[in-house]
Amino acid sequence: MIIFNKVSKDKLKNFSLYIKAGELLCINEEDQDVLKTIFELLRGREKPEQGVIRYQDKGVYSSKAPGNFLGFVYRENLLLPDRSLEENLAYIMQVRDLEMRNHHVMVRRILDIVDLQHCSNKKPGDLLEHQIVRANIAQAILSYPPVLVLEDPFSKLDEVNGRGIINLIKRLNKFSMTIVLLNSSGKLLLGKGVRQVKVKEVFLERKDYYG
Amino acid sequence: MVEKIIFSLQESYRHIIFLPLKSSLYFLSLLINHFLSIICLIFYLNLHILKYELLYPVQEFLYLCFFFSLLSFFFINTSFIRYYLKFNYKEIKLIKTLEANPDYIRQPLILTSLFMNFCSLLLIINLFSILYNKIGYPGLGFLNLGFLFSFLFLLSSILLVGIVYYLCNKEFAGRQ
Repeated sequence: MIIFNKVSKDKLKNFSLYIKAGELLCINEEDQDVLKTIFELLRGREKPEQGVIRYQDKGVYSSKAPGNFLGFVYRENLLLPDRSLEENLAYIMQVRDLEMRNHHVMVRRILDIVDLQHCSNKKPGDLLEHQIVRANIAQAILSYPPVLVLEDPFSKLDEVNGRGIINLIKRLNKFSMTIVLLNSSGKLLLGKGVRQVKVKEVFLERKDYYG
Repeated sequence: MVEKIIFSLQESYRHIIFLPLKSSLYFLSLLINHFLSIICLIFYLNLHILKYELLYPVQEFLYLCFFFSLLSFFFINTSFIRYYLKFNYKEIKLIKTLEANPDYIRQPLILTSLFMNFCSLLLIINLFSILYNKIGYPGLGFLNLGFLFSFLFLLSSILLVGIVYYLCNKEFAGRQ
Protein backbone atom coordinates (compact mmCIF):
# COMPACT_ATOMS: atom_id res chain seq x y z
CA MET A 1 0.00 0.00 0.00
CA ILE A 2 2.85 2.36 0.90
CA ILE A 3 6.45 1.64 -0.09
CA PHE A 4 9.50 3.37 1.29
CA ASN A 5 12.34 2.54 -1.08
CA LYS A 6 15.80 3.47 0.27
CA VAL A 7 14.53 6.77 1.57
CA SER A 8 17.06 9.16 3.11
CA LYS A 9 16.21 12.42 4.79
CA ASP A 10 18.15 14.12 7.61
CA LYS A 11 18.68 11.45 10.32
CA LEU A 12 16.71 8.83 8.41
CA LYS A 13 19.11 6.87 6.24
CA ASN A 14 18.36 4.28 3.57
CA PHE A 15 14.92 3.46 5.02
CA SER A 16 12.98 0.77 3.19
CA LEU A 17 9.61 -0.53 4.28
CA TYR A 18 6.49 -2.03 2.74
CA ILE A 19 3.22 -1.24 4.49
CA LYS A 20 0.55 -3.74 3.49
CA ALA A 21 -3.12 -2.90 3.13
CA GLY A 22 -5.13 -3.49 6.29
CA GLU A 23 -2.20 -4.07 8.60
CA LEU A 24 -1.45 -2.45 11.93
CA LEU A 25 2.13 -1.31 11.87
CA CYS A 26 4.05 0.26 14.70
CA ILE A 27 7.33 2.02 13.90
CA ASN A 28 9.36 2.26 17.10
CA GLU A 29 12.04 4.87 17.41
CA GLU A 30 13.20 6.76 20.48
CA ASP A 31 14.51 9.68 18.48
CA GLN A 32 11.49 11.91 17.92
CA ASP A 33 13.20 13.79 15.09
CA VAL A 34 13.28 10.59 13.01
CA LEU A 35 9.57 10.00 13.69
CA LYS A 36 8.83 13.62 12.76
CA THR A 37 10.75 13.14 9.51
CA ILE A 38 8.76 9.99 8.63
CA PHE A 39 5.52 11.79 9.50
CA GLU A 40 6.39 14.81 7.35
CA LEU A 41 7.48 12.54 4.49
CA LEU A 42 4.14 10.75 4.62
CA ARG A 43 2.32 14.06 4.74
CA GLY A 44 4.19 15.13 1.63
CA ARG A 45 5.43 18.34 3.23
CA GLU A 46 9.01 17.17 2.91
CA LYS A 47 10.61 15.31 0.08
CA PRO A 48 13.24 12.58 0.46
CA GLU A 49 16.80 13.52 -0.36
CA GLN A 50 17.26 10.04 -1.81
CA GLY A 51 14.89 7.21 -2.65
CA VAL A 52 11.16 7.25 -3.31
CA ILE A 53 7.89 6.79 -1.47
CA ARG A 54 5.11 5.16 -3.45
CA TYR A 55 1.43 4.91 -2.62
CA GLN A 56 -0.82 2.25 -4.06
CA ASP A 57 -4.48 3.10 -4.39
CA LYS A 58 -6.93 1.04 -6.46
CA GLY A 59 -4.07 -0.88 -8.08
CA VAL A 60 -2.23 2.22 -9.24
CA TYR A 61 1.11 3.31 -7.80
CA SER A 62 1.87 7.00 -7.55
CA SER A 63 4.61 9.06 -5.94
CA LYS A 64 2.04 11.42 -4.44
CA ALA A 65 -0.64 10.34 -1.98
CA PRO A 66 -4.10 10.52 -3.58
CA GLY A 67 -6.60 12.88 -1.95
CA ASN A 68 -8.28 11.44 1.13
CA PHE A 69 -5.89 8.48 1.11
CA LEU A 70 -4.17 9.34 4.38
CA GLY A 71 -5.57 10.58 7.66
CA PHE A 72 -3.19 12.16 10.16
CA VAL A 73 -3.33 12.31 13.93
CA TYR A 74 -1.00 15.09 15.04
CA ARG A 75 0.97 15.13 18.26
CA GLU A 76 -0.16 18.64 19.19
CA ASN A 77 -3.75 19.41 19.99
CA LEU A 78 -5.50 20.97 17.01
CA LEU A 79 -8.85 21.63 18.64
CA LEU A 80 -10.03 25.21 18.99
CA PRO A 81 -10.42 26.13 22.67
CA ASP A 82 -13.52 28.31 22.39
CA ARG A 83 -15.70 25.74 20.61
CA SER A 84 -17.26 22.52 21.80
CA LEU A 85 -15.98 19.19 20.49
CA GLU A 86 -18.90 18.86 18.08
CA GLU A 87 -18.39 22.41 16.78
CA ASN A 88 -14.67 21.72 16.40
CA LEU A 89 -15.31 18.65 14.27
CA ALA A 90 -17.90 20.53 12.20
CA TYR A 91 -15.36 23.34 11.67
CA ILE A 92 -12.70 20.83 10.57
CA MET A 93 -15.17 19.17 8.21
CA GLN A 94 -15.92 22.56 6.70
CA VAL A 95 -12.29 23.63 6.18
CA ARG A 96 -11.39 20.22 4.74
CA ASP A 97 -14.20 20.67 2.19
CA LEU A 98 -16.00 17.51 3.29
CA GLU A 99 -19.66 16.97 2.59
CA MET A 100 -21.52 19.04 5.16
CA ARG A 101 -24.97 17.60 4.53
CA ASN A 102 -26.11 15.79 7.71
CA HIS A 103 -22.83 16.75 9.37
CA HIS A 104 -24.42 16.52 12.84
CA VAL A 105 -25.18 12.84 12.24
CA MET A 106 -21.70 12.20 10.84
CA VAL A 107 -19.95 13.95 13.73
CA ARG A 108 -22.01 12.00 16.27
CA ARG A 109 -21.20 8.75 14.48
CA ILE A 110 -17.47 9.52 14.59
CA LEU A 111 -17.69 10.53 18.25
CA ASP A 112 -19.45 7.25 18.92
CA ILE A 113 -16.58 5.35 17.25
CA VAL A 114 -13.97 7.05 19.45
CA ASP A 115 -16.16 6.76 22.58
CA LEU A 116 -16.60 10.50 23.06
CA GLN A 117 -20.29 10.95 22.47
CA HIS A 118 -20.83 12.00 26.08
CA CYS A 119 -18.23 14.80 25.61
CA SER A 120 -19.74 16.31 22.45
CA ASN A 121 -20.68 19.55 24.21
CA LYS A 122 -17.47 19.86 26.18
CA LYS A 123 -14.74 22.30 25.22
CA PRO A 124 -11.14 21.03 24.76
CA GLY A 125 -10.11 22.66 28.04
CA ASP A 126 -12.56 20.39 29.91
CA LEU A 127 -11.31 17.20 28.26
CA LEU A 128 -8.77 14.79 29.75
CA GLU A 129 -5.51 14.06 27.94
CA HIS A 130 -6.66 10.70 26.52
CA GLN A 131 -9.94 12.29 25.42
CA ILE A 132 -7.96 14.91 23.51
CA VAL A 133 -6.03 12.11 21.76
CA ARG A 134 -9.36 10.43 20.92
CA ALA A 135 -10.72 13.76 19.63
CA ASN A 136 -7.64 14.15 17.43
CA ILE A 137 -8.21 10.63 16.09
CA ALA A 138 -11.83 11.66 15.45
CA GLN A 139 -10.74 14.65 13.34
CA ALA A 140 -8.45 12.37 11.31
CA ILE A 141 -11.14 9.78 10.52
CA LEU A 142 -13.84 12.29 9.59
CA SER A 143 -13.37 11.41 5.93
CA TYR A 144 -12.87 7.66 6.59
CA PRO A 145 -9.37 7.48 5.03
CA PRO A 146 -7.97 4.02 4.11
CA VAL A 147 -4.70 4.76 5.95
CA LEU A 148 -4.37 6.40 9.34
CA VAL A 149 -1.00 7.73 10.49
CA LEU A 150 -0.61 8.54 14.18
CA GLU A 151 2.28 10.71 15.33
CA ASP A 152 3.35 9.50 18.74
CA PRO A 153 -0.09 9.50 20.44
CA PHE A 154 1.12 7.84 23.67
CA SER A 155 3.81 10.37 24.64
CA LYS A 156 1.58 12.17 27.18
CA LEU A 157 -0.52 9.21 28.32
CA ASP A 158 -0.18 6.82 31.24
CA GLU A 159 -0.30 3.04 30.73
CA VAL A 160 -4.03 2.57 31.37
CA ASN A 161 -5.13 5.33 29.03
CA GLY A 162 -2.52 4.25 26.48
CA ARG A 163 -4.07 0.78 26.51
CA GLY A 164 -7.48 2.34 25.85
CA ILE A 165 -6.08 4.16 22.82
CA ILE A 166 -4.48 0.90 21.58
CA ASN A 167 -7.88 -0.81 21.81
CA LEU A 168 -9.43 2.04 19.84
CA ILE A 169 -6.71 1.75 17.17
CA LYS A 170 -7.23 -2.02 16.96
CA ARG A 171 -10.98 -1.46 16.56
CA LEU A 172 -10.31 0.99 13.71
CA ASN A 173 -7.98 -1.58 12.16
CA LYS A 174 -10.83 -4.12 12.23
CA PHE A 175 -12.81 -1.71 10.00
CA SER A 176 -10.03 -2.55 7.43
CA MET A 177 -8.25 0.75 8.07
CA THR A 178 -4.47 0.51 7.67
CA ILE A 179 -2.79 1.97 10.74
CA VAL A 180 0.74 3.36 10.84
CA LEU A 181 1.70 4.10 14.41
CA LEU A 182 4.80 6.18 15.02
CA ASN A 183 5.84 5.44 18.58
CA SER A 184 8.62 6.84 20.74
CA SER A 185 7.63 5.36 24.12
CA GLY A 186 9.47 2.09 24.71
CA LYS A 187 7.27 0.50 27.39
CA LEU A 188 4.23 -0.17 25.28
CA LEU A 189 2.49 -3.53 25.09
CA LEU A 190 0.73 -3.60 21.77
CA GLY A 191 -0.23 -7.27 21.92
CA LYS A 192 -0.88 -9.64 19.03
CA GLY A 193 -1.65 -8.65 15.48
CA VAL A 194 0.67 -5.66 15.48
CA ARG A 195 3.75 -5.65 13.28
CA GLN A 196 6.46 -3.80 15.10
CA VAL A 197 9.53 -2.47 13.34
CA LYS A 198 12.46 -0.41 14.48
CA VAL A 199 13.89 2.17 12.14
CA LYS A 200 17.47 1.03 12.81
CA GLU A 201 16.62 -2.65 12.18
CA VAL A 202 14.90 -1.82 8.94
CA PHE A 203 17.89 0.24 7.96
CA LEU A 204 20.43 -2.49 8.77
CA GLU A 205 18.68 -5.66 7.62
CA ARG A 206 15.93 -4.35 5.37
CA LYS A 207 13.90 -7.41 6.33
CA ASP A 208 10.55 -5.66 5.98
CA TYR A 209 11.16 -4.38 2.50
CA TYR A 210 8.57 -5.88 0.13
CA GLY A 211 7.21 -8.04 2.96
CA MET B 1 -21.70 27.17 -1.85
CA VAL B 2 -24.57 27.92 0.55
CA GLU B 3 -22.67 26.20 3.35
CA LYS B 4 -19.61 28.34 2.66
CA ILE B 5 -21.68 31.53 2.82
CA ILE B 6 -23.32 30.41 6.07
CA PHE B 7 -19.89 29.51 7.45
CA SER B 8 -18.47 32.96 6.53
CA LEU B 9 -21.50 34.66 8.10
CA GLN B 10 -21.15 32.62 11.28
CA GLU B 11 -17.43 33.35 11.56
CA SER B 12 -17.82 37.07 10.93
CA TYR B 13 -20.67 37.14 13.48
CA ARG B 14 -18.24 35.45 15.86
CA HIS B 15 -15.62 38.17 15.24
CA ILE B 16 -18.07 40.89 16.11
CA ILE B 17 -19.67 39.17 19.10
CA PHE B 18 -16.51 37.88 20.77
CA LEU B 19 -14.66 41.17 20.37
CA PRO B 20 -17.37 43.70 21.25
CA LEU B 21 -14.99 46.43 22.45
CA LYS B 22 -12.68 46.18 19.45
CA SER B 23 -15.60 45.97 17.04
CA SER B 24 -17.28 49.05 18.47
CA LEU B 25 -13.97 50.93 18.38
CA TYR B 26 -13.51 49.87 14.76
CA PHE B 27 -17.04 50.99 13.97
CA LEU B 28 -16.53 54.33 15.72
CA SER B 29 -13.24 55.07 13.99
CA LEU B 30 -14.75 54.27 10.59
CA LEU B 31 -17.71 56.48 11.47
CA ILE B 32 -15.47 59.44 12.33
CA ASN B 33 -13.38 58.83 9.23
CA HIS B 34 -16.39 58.85 6.89
CA PHE B 35 -17.89 61.84 8.69
CA LEU B 36 -14.75 63.93 8.28
CA SER B 37 -14.28 62.99 4.63
CA ILE B 38 -17.90 63.98 3.80
CA ILE B 39 -17.52 67.27 5.69
CA CYS B 40 -14.38 67.93 3.63
CA LEU B 41 -16.34 67.15 0.47
CA ILE B 42 -19.08 69.62 1.44
CA PHE B 43 -16.50 72.33 2.01
CA TYR B 44 -14.93 71.50 -1.31
CA LEU B 45 -18.29 71.75 -3.08
CA ASN B 46 -18.97 75.10 -1.44
CA LEU B 47 -15.66 76.46 -2.56
CA HIS B 48 -15.55 74.91 -5.97
CA ILE B 49 -19.13 75.14 -7.24
CA LEU B 50 -20.35 78.25 -5.46
CA LYS B 51 -16.99 79.86 -6.25
CA TYR B 52 -16.34 81.50 -2.91
CA GLU B 53 -13.24 83.55 -3.13
CA LEU B 54 -10.97 83.19 -0.16
CA LEU B 55 -7.62 84.69 0.55
CA TYR B 56 -6.21 81.52 2.02
CA PRO B 57 -5.24 78.40 -0.01
CA VAL B 58 -8.15 76.36 1.37
CA GLN B 59 -8.46 74.10 -1.68
CA GLU B 60 -4.94 72.77 -1.24
CA PHE B 61 -5.72 72.17 2.40
CA LEU B 62 -8.84 70.21 1.43
CA TYR B 63 -6.88 68.03 -1.01
CA LEU B 64 -4.55 67.29 1.85
CA CYS B 65 -7.55 66.43 4.04
CA PHE B 66 -8.83 63.97 1.41
CA PHE B 67 -5.44 62.36 1.22
CA PHE B 68 -5.20 62.02 5.00
CA SER B 69 -8.72 60.68 5.21
CA LEU B 70 -7.78 57.94 2.73
CA LEU B 71 -4.58 57.25 4.64
CA SER B 72 -6.39 57.06 7.98
CA PHE B 73 -9.01 54.73 6.44
CA PHE B 74 -6.19 52.48 5.31
CA PHE B 75 -4.46 52.47 8.71
CA ILE B 76 -7.65 51.99 10.74
CA ASN B 77 -8.57 48.97 8.66
CA THR B 78 -5.09 47.49 8.65
CA SER B 79 -4.75 47.67 12.42
CA PHE B 80 -8.20 46.28 13.18
CA ILE B 81 -8.07 43.49 10.59
CA ARG B 82 -4.67 42.53 11.97
CA TYR B 83 -6.28 42.31 15.38
CA TYR B 84 -9.03 40.04 14.04
CA LEU B 85 -6.32 37.87 12.49
CA LYS B 86 -4.53 37.64 15.83
CA PHE B 87 -7.82 36.68 17.44
CA ASN B 88 -8.04 33.87 14.88
CA TYR B 89 -4.51 32.51 15.35
CA LYS B 90 -5.74 29.06 16.46
CA GLU B 91 -7.88 28.77 13.34
CA ILE B 92 -4.92 29.89 11.22
CA LYS B 93 -2.74 27.23 12.83
CA LEU B 94 -5.41 24.59 12.22
CA ILE B 95 -5.83 25.60 8.59
CA LYS B 96 -2.06 25.55 8.07
CA THR B 97 -1.70 22.13 9.68
CA LEU B 98 -4.53 20.64 7.67
CA GLU B 99 -3.29 22.46 4.56
CA ALA B 100 -6.80 23.74 3.98
CA ASN B 101 -7.88 26.67 1.86
CA PRO B 102 -6.93 30.04 3.47
CA ASP B 103 -10.20 31.44 2.11
CA TYR B 104 -11.83 30.06 5.24
CA ILE B 105 -9.99 32.78 7.14
CA ARG B 106 -10.09 35.44 4.43
CA GLN B 107 -13.76 35.41 3.56
CA PRO B 108 -15.11 35.93 7.12
CA LEU B 109 -12.60 38.77 7.56
CA ILE B 110 -13.68 40.45 4.33
CA LEU B 111 -17.30 40.02 5.37
CA THR B 112 -16.67 41.49 8.83
CA SER B 113 -14.85 44.55 7.51
CA LEU B 114 -17.39 45.11 4.73
CA PHE B 115 -20.24 44.82 7.20
CA MET B 116 -18.61 47.36 9.52
CA ASN B 117 -17.87 49.69 6.66
CA PHE B 118 -21.37 49.38 5.22
CA CYS B 119 -23.02 50.07 8.60
CA SER B 120 -20.86 53.10 9.38
CA LEU B 121 -21.36 54.52 5.90
CA LEU B 122 -25.10 53.95 6.04
CA LEU B 123 -25.31 55.71 9.40
CA ILE B 124 -23.31 58.69 8.19
CA ILE B 125 -25.27 59.03 4.95
CA ASN B 126 -28.54 58.91 6.91
CA LEU B 127 -27.20 61.53 9.28
CA PHE B 128 -26.36 63.77 6.35
CA SER B 129 -29.76 63.24 4.75
CA ILE B 130 -31.33 64.45 8.02
CA LEU B 131 -28.99 67.45 7.91
CA TYR B 132 -29.94 67.96 4.28
CA ASN B 133 -33.61 68.28 5.24
CA LYS B 134 -33.10 70.40 8.32
CA ILE B 135 -30.32 72.80 7.40
CA GLY B 136 -30.33 74.83 4.24
CA TYR B 137 -26.58 74.72 3.92
CA PRO B 138 -25.74 75.48 0.27
CA GLY B 139 -23.06 72.80 -0.14
CA LEU B 140 -25.53 70.06 0.77
CA GLY B 141 -27.63 70.96 -2.26
CA PHE B 142 -24.89 69.65 -4.54
CA LEU B 143 -24.39 66.46 -2.62
CA ASN B 144 -25.88 63.40 -4.31
CA LEU B 145 -26.10 61.12 -1.28
CA GLY B 146 -27.01 57.97 -3.20
CA PHE B 147 -24.11 58.39 -5.58
CA LEU B 148 -21.75 59.29 -2.74
CA PHE B 149 -22.78 56.18 -0.79
CA SER B 150 -22.24 53.90 -3.81
CA PHE B 151 -18.93 55.51 -4.70
CA LEU B 152 -17.51 55.43 -1.17
CA PHE B 153 -18.73 51.87 -0.59
CA LEU B 154 -17.18 50.67 -3.84
CA LEU B 155 -13.88 52.42 -3.15
CA SER B 156 -13.69 51.19 0.44
CA SER B 157 -14.66 47.63 -0.60
CA ILE B 158 -11.80 47.48 -3.09
CA LEU B 159 -9.40 48.82 -0.47
CA LEU B 160 -10.65 46.41 2.19
CA VAL B 161 -10.40 43.34 -0.01
CA GLY B 162 -6.85 44.41 -0.89
CA ILE B 163 -5.92 44.91 2.76
CA VAL B 164 -7.37 41.55 3.83
CA TYR B 165 -5.64 39.72 0.99
CA TYR B 166 -2.33 41.41 1.76
CA LEU B 167 -2.50 40.68 5.51
CA CYS B 168 -3.69 37.10 5.05
CA ASN B 169 -0.99 36.33 2.50
CA LYS B 170 1.59 37.78 4.87
CA GLU B 171 0.20 35.73 7.75
CA PHE B 172 0.08 32.47 5.80
CA ALA B 173 3.45 32.98 4.16
CA GLY B 174 5.22 34.08 7.35
CA ARG B 175 4.52 30.98 9.44
CA GLN B 176 5.18 28.28 6.92
